[in-house]
Amino acid sequence: MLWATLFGLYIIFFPGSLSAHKTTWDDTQIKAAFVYNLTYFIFWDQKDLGDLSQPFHILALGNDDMGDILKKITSHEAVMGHSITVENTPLRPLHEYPIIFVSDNMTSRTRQLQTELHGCHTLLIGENMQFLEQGGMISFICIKKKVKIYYNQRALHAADIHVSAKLYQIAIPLQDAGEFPQ
Amino acid sequence: MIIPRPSATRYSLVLFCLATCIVLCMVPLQSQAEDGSTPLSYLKQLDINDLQNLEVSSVSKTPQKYFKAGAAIYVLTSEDIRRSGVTSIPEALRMVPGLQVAKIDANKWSISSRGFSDRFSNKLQVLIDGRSVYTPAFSGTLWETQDTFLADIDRIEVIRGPGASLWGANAVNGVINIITKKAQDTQGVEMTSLVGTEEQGLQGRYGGKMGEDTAYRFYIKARNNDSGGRIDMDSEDAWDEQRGGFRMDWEPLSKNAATLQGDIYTGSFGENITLLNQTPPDFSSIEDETINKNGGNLLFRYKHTSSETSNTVFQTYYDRMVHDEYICQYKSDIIDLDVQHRFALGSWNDILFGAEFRSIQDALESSDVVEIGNKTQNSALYTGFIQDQIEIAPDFLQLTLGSKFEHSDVWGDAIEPSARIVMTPNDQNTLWASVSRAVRSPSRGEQSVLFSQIRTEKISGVEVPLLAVLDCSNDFEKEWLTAYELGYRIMPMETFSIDIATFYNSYDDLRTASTDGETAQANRSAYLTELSTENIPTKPAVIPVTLTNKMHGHTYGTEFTLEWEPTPAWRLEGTYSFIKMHLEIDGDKYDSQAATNAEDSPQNQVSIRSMLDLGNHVQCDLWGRYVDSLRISDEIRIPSYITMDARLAWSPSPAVELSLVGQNLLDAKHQEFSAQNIPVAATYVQRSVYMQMVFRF
Repeated sequence: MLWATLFGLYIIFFPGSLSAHKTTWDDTQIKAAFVYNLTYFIFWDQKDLGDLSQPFHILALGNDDMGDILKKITSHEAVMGHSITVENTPLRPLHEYPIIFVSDNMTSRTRQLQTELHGCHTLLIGENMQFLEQGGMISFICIKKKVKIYYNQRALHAADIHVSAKLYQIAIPLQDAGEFPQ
Repeated sequence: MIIPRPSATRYSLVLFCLATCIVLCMVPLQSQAEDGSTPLSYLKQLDINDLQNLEVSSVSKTPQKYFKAGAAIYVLTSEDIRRSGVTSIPEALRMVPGLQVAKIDANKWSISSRGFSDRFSNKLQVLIDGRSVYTPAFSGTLWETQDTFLADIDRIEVIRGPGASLWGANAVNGVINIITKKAQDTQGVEMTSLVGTEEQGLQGRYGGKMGEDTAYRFYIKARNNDSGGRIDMDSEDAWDEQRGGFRMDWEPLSKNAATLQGDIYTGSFGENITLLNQTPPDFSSIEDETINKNGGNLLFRYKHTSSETSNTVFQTYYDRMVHDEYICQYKSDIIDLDVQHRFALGSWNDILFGAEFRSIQDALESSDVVEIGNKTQNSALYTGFIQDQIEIAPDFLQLTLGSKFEHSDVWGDAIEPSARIVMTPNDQNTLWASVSRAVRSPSRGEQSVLFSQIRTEKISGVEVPLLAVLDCSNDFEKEWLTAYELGYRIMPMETFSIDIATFYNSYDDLRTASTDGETAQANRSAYLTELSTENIPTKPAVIPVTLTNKMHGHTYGTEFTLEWEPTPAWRLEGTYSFIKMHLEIDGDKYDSQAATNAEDSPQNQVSIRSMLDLGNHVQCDLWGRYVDSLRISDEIRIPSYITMDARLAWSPSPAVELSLVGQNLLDAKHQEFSAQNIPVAATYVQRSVYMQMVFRF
């Protein structure tokens, strides 16, 4: 009781002490923002996306929180005129998803996804190095409390996915990754 | 010892001051929230270079979806459990505001929500992965047998207040949902070894895969706990338990998913128990007994997702308990079948409806203390429910209407409706209110047990032993609650949030024990007459007692939670809860005795936790708690206490974690509870230290 009262008074008289502090984000929020941002860095084939009445489907596998945050971030947004929908469960054939986000706990299914998506232009995004090594295309990896982008050029090429030069400037290719924490 | 209690006026004044402080502090915070810097919209505006430079918070937060819930919900995450240093589920629940958690002896807990604390807290529903562990025989949860591999718990959702419209009878004052991780999230080996002054434990879990779509895990766990501290007699409440379990999740990359899981356990639990005997002058003796408790369960769940707004879940489980209690040997077999379907009706309505059937077979054995009317009983419970979540104004105003309809062939029918309204003007504010009705069903024990308890009463200067013979019958009916709740959450920034919930609960038909005054008086007089002629009567005065519903009352209170992350490496959480209970016996209060005391739950509770990352993979966590005094009866009063737990942990590599934990460090021992309605002796909670090693590979 005393503690709560004192803390309330502290906030009244020193509200700046809270607001002055730099906001922090958990990695799921940052990765969701990255996924949304990436939609601008990929050259999507209009033919794959269908007519404008067809939504741009994103599948978030294995982490419901990621799906929920992605839904918020992408609400009222569009990719090349297509409204964005986010799903946590595969409700349609996998090749109908231009983006599939594969959470840490689903990394072991990367090869299965690759097999099922063979020849399709679906961007597979993950969040660890094994994902890239198993054929994933882009991975958001947390290093020293910052999220970095890594990519697997061979996998991108195999899926015939074209990425803007700007992304290549800031992202790190798989062969340069060297040793880093998982 | 008389413990002075501050007056209600003083509490009201303090509460008013606190509420004023909170409202005032919201002003600057709210103005910041209105700057347009909502966390996700800010993130979305950042360019990919800026995103790469953002610092990641080290502590995982409570999922955002709970922030907009129209109920007093609190979520314990796996991180909370790990960093608190607790080693059991009941101890973890101490972190939850509005719950009253007290240890009776080394292996028994009283856990209740919003008052009515007891060994068998009959107004709190508890589920583990959708399986109810509320025991219909005794109306309560036997917490000593509710355990699992703690690291496999994903979260514990605690809803204070009624949840009857979804969870049915006995979700009166709260619902605890313990949810374990999916098997795919617990792959590999994890071994934990714990050595301490009060506890030793060893547990291991292995998780693997069967093909692409199926993941599994299994665990084994053994623990050995020391007895509590001696109060009036040598404590004999040491206990040990061994358990094992498994979970398999089938999750193809399609619309279907299924889960199969199960547990099995056995344990020996010591206790000091008051027994009746026929020897005057005491007619009672205290014995130490070891109780064997065994059980197991098997659950299957299938989920089909048709679309983002439509799914169907089918679940069935079997649960078996065999408890060799001294006062009553008990066996039960429960089979439950449940189906739920959710769909969207237009763009405004999200409808959830379902049906459930539960079959309960039990067998109770008579003992010296308890005589059973019908030793075996087969009963069935039929349930249906419907809930409509209506978007009155999308992303702003939401109304949820629902009701549960139940029929039991033992205790009859019940309809438990609820209405909730949630206003979310933006991502930083949630205001909600609800009104609900809930029922507490009579237990098997309350309807078919003949229970005897000895006590003494001073009549004309003479200690007269009274044998209260409690004849439970179908005369005891359901207890009813009508609850009104109001809550507010504000999160002006990602690092700071406040959650306030207030409630007013009105109860009817609460349990009482009533005597026939004339018969009781005649028996007392007969005893005194015999005493004057033979000195020591061979039998105590018998007081016939029946269970009745002759009490009503109301409770009100507030729960306050504050979360603050001053730096990415430091998280603070403070909770405060206040409850005031008023209970009144209907009719002649001399003939009826309340089963619950208005002061057997702490009026004020405070918890403050600090979780600090010191760098170099070292964590230092502190947890302090204040719990107000209790008055269990005129003779039994428990003083207030303050405790402090501390945890220091070091992870030299991701595969290893070493931790040193001290619990109840501020005093050598303290008493937390004493059960009024069961003849089991309480013991002290003692200061303890343990060291734990965790290996993952």
